[in-house]
Amino acid sequence: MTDKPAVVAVIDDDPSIRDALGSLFETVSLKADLFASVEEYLQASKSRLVNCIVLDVRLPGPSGLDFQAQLASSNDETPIVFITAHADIPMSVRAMKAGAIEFLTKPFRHQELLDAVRTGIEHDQSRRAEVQALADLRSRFASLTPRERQMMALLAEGRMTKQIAGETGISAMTVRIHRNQVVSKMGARSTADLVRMADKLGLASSKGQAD
Amino acid sequence: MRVSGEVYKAPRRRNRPNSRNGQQHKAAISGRSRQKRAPRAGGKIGEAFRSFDWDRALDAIIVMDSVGIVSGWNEQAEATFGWPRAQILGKRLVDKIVPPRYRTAHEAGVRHFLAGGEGPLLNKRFEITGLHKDGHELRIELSIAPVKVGNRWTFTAFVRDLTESKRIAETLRETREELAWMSRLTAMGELTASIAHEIKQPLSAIISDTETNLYWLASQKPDIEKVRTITQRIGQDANRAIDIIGRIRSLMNKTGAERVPLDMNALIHEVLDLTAWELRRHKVSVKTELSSPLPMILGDRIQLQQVILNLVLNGMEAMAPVEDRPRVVSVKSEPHKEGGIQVSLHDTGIGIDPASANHIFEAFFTTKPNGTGMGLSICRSIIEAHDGRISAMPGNPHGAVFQFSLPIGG
Repeated sequence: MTDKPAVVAVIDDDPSIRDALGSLFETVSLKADLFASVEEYLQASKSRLVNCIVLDVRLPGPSGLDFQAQLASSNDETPIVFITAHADIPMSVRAMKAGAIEFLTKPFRHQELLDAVRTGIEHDQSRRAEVQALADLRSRFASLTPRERQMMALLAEGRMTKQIAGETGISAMTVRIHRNQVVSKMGARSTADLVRMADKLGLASSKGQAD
Repeated sequence: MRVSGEVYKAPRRRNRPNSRNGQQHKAAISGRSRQKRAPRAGGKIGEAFRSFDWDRALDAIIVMDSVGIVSGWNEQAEATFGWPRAQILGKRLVDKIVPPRYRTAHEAGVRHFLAGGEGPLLNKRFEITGLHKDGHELRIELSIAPVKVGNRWTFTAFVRDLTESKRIAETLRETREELAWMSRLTAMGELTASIAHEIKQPLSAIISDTETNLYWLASQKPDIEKVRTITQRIGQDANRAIDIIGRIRSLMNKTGAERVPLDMNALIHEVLDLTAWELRRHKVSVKTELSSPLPMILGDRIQLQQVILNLVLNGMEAMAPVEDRPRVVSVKSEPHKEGGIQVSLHDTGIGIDPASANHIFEAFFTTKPNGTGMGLSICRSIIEAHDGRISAMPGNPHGAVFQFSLPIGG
């Protein structure tokens, strides 16, 4: 994930500000896509990866804050750095509470903005990595047979081989074979690792509830 | 009017310059030969007319004979032109109360009439410049009635000093301008944040670009082209900031009206730029439908911008209570079918109460708790001073439409 070049989207209706920010990001070799409005961004971003949005608070059409809420409601967690020419405390509080990385007043120092954007990109990349890891885990879990899934759930609850054998009515030997199969298919380094994976997949708790 | 009509129709005989005292003069001027043609309305008016003391007339009344000698001069004439009767009776009128540059024309006119020609200035009112004894010139309204006495013509002039009415008109105009200026300042006051924002944008870009340039210049092998591009942008942004300040200054200044050729679409854009931030703050979006090309009109830039500004702010305020529909102000410009242009602003606000529609442009009429009631009345006075028309009507399906039209001539 992290080897892909990071992309910043700038949404500001003022062409002077847009161009200036575009040049700024060029100095740190960040790819910046410039948009005059939220609509323009939405049109373009469907097919593109964006790691951080630099967003003007006051925009024609939906405001930056409205857009932040809109993204949140559609589970789009792209980090947002707000910029505004006219600071307003309630506005900045609202933005920060809603999870903005930073709220900067123009004119800001380059370093402030670059730091905020870098933080945003890091958040985004680690979040994406987690999402990806979970997706991998899910697909590996999906490759298990029903019996193997049952084994994994029981192991995750901390049952010993003999207990499992007793509960399921199969031999301890067969349990061991299944367990090895599960560990191998899931790519776990140990039984403990397997338990952690089951936890991430939410197996232990659901099984517990089912009992 | 009737009385004066009778006066100039009443044939009057003689009037020798030697009539030195007021009584004689009064008799001379009132027309002793009234018996020759009695007033048509009969004895009653005739009596009042006969006994009227011409020195009590509020207009200056001057009688001049066919060779240009003053033979009648009432008290108001003394007051208007500064010449005591004693000093002017028997003198040539043209030398005393006609400014030197008009004297030739005056004498030519009299000669022309006496030679049997038309007297285009006779028997009607016109405005002309007169000369006061102390040398200053004054605007006067004048009507001249020629009367033939025997075989000689006599001219009676009725003169009204326009200085006072000019002064009142001037004061009125100044007051109107002052009021418009105050209202402009108030509107600009409401826009402070918007204006600050508008200026901050290019300045922020300049600061950022400067820092970027310095970064590139400090690098091992500076990319001169890159730095050049950014430097050019800095220049443009600085000019943009200057332009904004210039526009704001001119709106804040108290300026006399002047007529220049104007592109109404440009005026609309400038006002919308200035109010953009404020409109956004009020969650108002703007739609424009500006017909281009639009005929240029002659008008006062500041005043017409003030009209647009007032109407935009008015629409914005009318939409403040609206929560259940988008707040939109649609600005439209188009050529007017009678020549000139027409501009309309349609908002989606609370609309116009039919009961107040007729009063909406009246001074001090307001439906807003903090309104001065001056905004729309100033709009109307500006539009009317440009020979245009302004009107308001309910919008469809809601809100209000304000519309004004202006002739090309301004």
